Amino acid sequence: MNRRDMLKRSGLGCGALALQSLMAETGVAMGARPGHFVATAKNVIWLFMHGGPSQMDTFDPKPLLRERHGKKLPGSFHNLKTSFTDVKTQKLLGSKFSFSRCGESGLEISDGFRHMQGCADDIAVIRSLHHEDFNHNPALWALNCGHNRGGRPSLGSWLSYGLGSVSENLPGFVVMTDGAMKAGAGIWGNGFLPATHQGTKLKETGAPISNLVPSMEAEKQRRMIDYMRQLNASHTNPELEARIASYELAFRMQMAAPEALDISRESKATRALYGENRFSQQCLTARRLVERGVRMVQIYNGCAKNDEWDTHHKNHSRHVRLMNNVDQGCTALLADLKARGMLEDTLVIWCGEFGRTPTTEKSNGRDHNPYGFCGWMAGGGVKGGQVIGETDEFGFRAVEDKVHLHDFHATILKLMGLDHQKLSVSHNGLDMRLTDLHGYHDIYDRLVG
Amino acid sequence: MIANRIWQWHFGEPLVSTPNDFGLQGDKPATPELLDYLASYLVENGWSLKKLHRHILNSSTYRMGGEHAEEAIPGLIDRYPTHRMQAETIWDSLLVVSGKLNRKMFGPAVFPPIDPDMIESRRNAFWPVEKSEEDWMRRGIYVAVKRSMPFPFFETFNSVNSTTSCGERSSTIVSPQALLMMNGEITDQLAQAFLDRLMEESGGDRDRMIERAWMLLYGRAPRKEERAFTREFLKDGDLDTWCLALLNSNEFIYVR
Repeated sequence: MNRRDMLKRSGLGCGALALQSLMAETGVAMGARPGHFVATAKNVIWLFMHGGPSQMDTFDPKPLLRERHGKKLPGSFHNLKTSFTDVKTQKLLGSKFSFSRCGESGLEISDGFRHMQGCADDIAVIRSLHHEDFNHNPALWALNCGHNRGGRPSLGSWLSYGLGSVSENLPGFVVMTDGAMKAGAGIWGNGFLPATHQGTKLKETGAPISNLVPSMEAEKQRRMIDYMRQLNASHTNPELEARIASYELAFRMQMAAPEALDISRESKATRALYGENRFSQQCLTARRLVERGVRMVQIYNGCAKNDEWDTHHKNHSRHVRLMNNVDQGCTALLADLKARGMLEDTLVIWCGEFGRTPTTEKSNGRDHNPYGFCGWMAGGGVKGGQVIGETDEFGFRAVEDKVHLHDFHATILKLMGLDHQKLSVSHNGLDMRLTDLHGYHDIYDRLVG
Repeated sequence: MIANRIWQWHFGEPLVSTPNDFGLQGDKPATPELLDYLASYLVENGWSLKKLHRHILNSSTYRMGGEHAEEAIPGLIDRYPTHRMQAETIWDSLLVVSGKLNRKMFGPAVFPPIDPDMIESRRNAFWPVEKSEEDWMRRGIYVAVKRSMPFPFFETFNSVNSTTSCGERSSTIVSPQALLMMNGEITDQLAQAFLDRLMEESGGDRDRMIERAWMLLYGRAPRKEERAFTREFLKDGDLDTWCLALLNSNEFIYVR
C-alpha cells in the first residue's frame, strides 16, 4: 500500500507534511536531524558527581586557604547563605591534598586523581561554575533541567528532541546510578516534551531496562506481533501505523539493548584499562552505548548514603576514597574514546550539582556551595589543557569569567550544534527553553579555541 | 471553557485547541457557533454537566464513525476523530474486560505494584503496595499521585507530571508502551484473567470465545476474515498469547 492510498483510507486525512509532524508529535523515533550550527559533538557522556565534590580538593588549588587554615572568613563573605553552617562562625579548612602541574599544559590537578593527571592535556577545567541553589534537590533539578523545581525537560530530553535519535534500537538517552538518589526520576525526565525523549534509567539489579525481558520466547512473540498486524490491518491511519512500528521497535530493542550492555564482550585489555569497580564498568557501558548511537548517557556517581560526594563530615578521608573510586574509570573512558577515534565527537562532562565551602562543617566537613564550583569538559571539539574562570582566594565564589548554569547549558547545546534560543517548545502559552530567559554568556569560543 | 473541555473529553480533541487559554492569547475555534450553542445549552440547563454529557453522547455527531472516504475539511466535523484512550481509561478498560475491576468508590488512594527497583533507587520513597489484588484493581483515578515518583503505567501513557497545569495531554506512541503492554507483569496478569473469563463465559467453545472477546473488547461481532485468521492463529492452542495480543491491539485502546 503506498502512502497516498494509506492517506486516502485514513480517517484523519493527513497530508504528507502532516505525517511528518504527526510522527514528531507522537514521538516515533525519527532519524537524526541537523541542528542550527555545525556541531563539534554528536554525543554526550555526563559523569555526574552526586552530592557535590569539593573544588579545592580536586581541580581548584587554593594555597591561601591552606595558609589561613583555622581562621575565619573576612567580613566581605558574610552575606553568603549556606545550608547547614554559618559563614560568620565557621573556620577555614585547607585542603590536605597536594596538587601537581600536569601534562604539557601544566594544568593543576589534585594528587588524589593520580590517573586523571595523565589526562591534563585533554580536559578543560571550568573553575567558575555557579548558581543560587544550595540544596541538593533544587540544585539537581537546576543542573539537569535548567530550573530549580520539577516539571521541565532535562538536557538529555532537549537533545533528543532537538536532534532526534541516531540509534534505531536503543533509547536516545540512558541513565545509570549507583544507589538511592536524592531527587526523583524527573531530573532525567521529559517534562512537557513527548515521552519518547525521557531518560531510560538502567536498573542496578535484574534486567537493566523495565519490561525489556520478553515475557515469552522470541519466536512466540514474533507470532504474536504478526497476529496483531492482522488485527490492526483493517483500520489504519498514520498514527495507528506508527503504533505498529513502535511494537516492531520494541521487539528489536529487546535484543539490541542486552547486547549493548554486555561488557563481557570487551577484550581483556579493555577491561583491565577501565578496572572492575562499578563506576568503571558504567563508563565502559557508556562508551558502548554511545558507539551504538545513544545520544546522551549520564552516570550518577556517589548516590548511596555514606558513599556520596556530599561530605559534610570527614571531607578529606571520604574524598580520598571517592576520588580514587572514579579516577581510573574517567581516565580509561577518555583514553578508550580517543583510541577509537570517538573522543572528537563525544563531549565528556564531569561535575556535580554544586561544590563545597572552604569553611568547615563540624570539625572536618564542608558544607554545600553553589556560588563557585568546578567541573571539566573533554572531547566534542573542546580544547584540553586549559582553565576557564577563577574563584576567589578561598574558593568560595566564582569571580572571573563566571559560568552560570544557564551559560553552561547554552555552551553544551552549542557544542551539539543547537542554538539555546531556537530550541524551544510552546507550553502553556510560553516559548520554553532549557536556558529559560538566560544563557547569553556561553564559553563556547574559549572551549573550542 | 468548560463546554470546550467536555467536548474534548468525548471527542479526543477540543473545539478550541488551546483549552487553557481563551481570548486573545488562545486559538480561534473553527466552529464558534457550535461552541456558543454548547455553552448556552449548559447555562440554560442550570449548569448541569450531566445534562450536557447526555446531550453530546446522544447526538448524531457523536455517533458518527471514524472512517470517511474523503479527506477531512478543517472546521467540518464529518467523522469521529479517532484517538487513543488516556492512561487511566486504558487502565480501567483492562480491568473491566478482564472482569477484575473492583467498583468500590471513594476512600484513600491506592498503590498498585511497581518495579521494586523504582522504590529502592529513590531515598525516602513511599509506595506501600496494596497487599491484596482486589485493593489495587480499582479505577485509575484512585491510583496515588506522587510528584517525585509517577506511576509508571500512567506515565508511559502520557499522564501529566502534576507539577504544571495541563490543558491537553499529549498522546504519543513510543516503544516503552509496547514493551510495557507486551512484557509487563500487570498486563500479563490481566490477560490471564481475561482468558479465564472468556473460557467461563463461552464454555470453552472456541467460536463463542472469539465472539465474546470481540464483543468485550471492540463492542462488535468479528468479521469473517477475522474469524479465519484467528482460528488459524489458535491452531496450536496458544490461548494465553492470543489474549495478550488482543489487549495489545489498536482497536482496543483507540476510540473511533
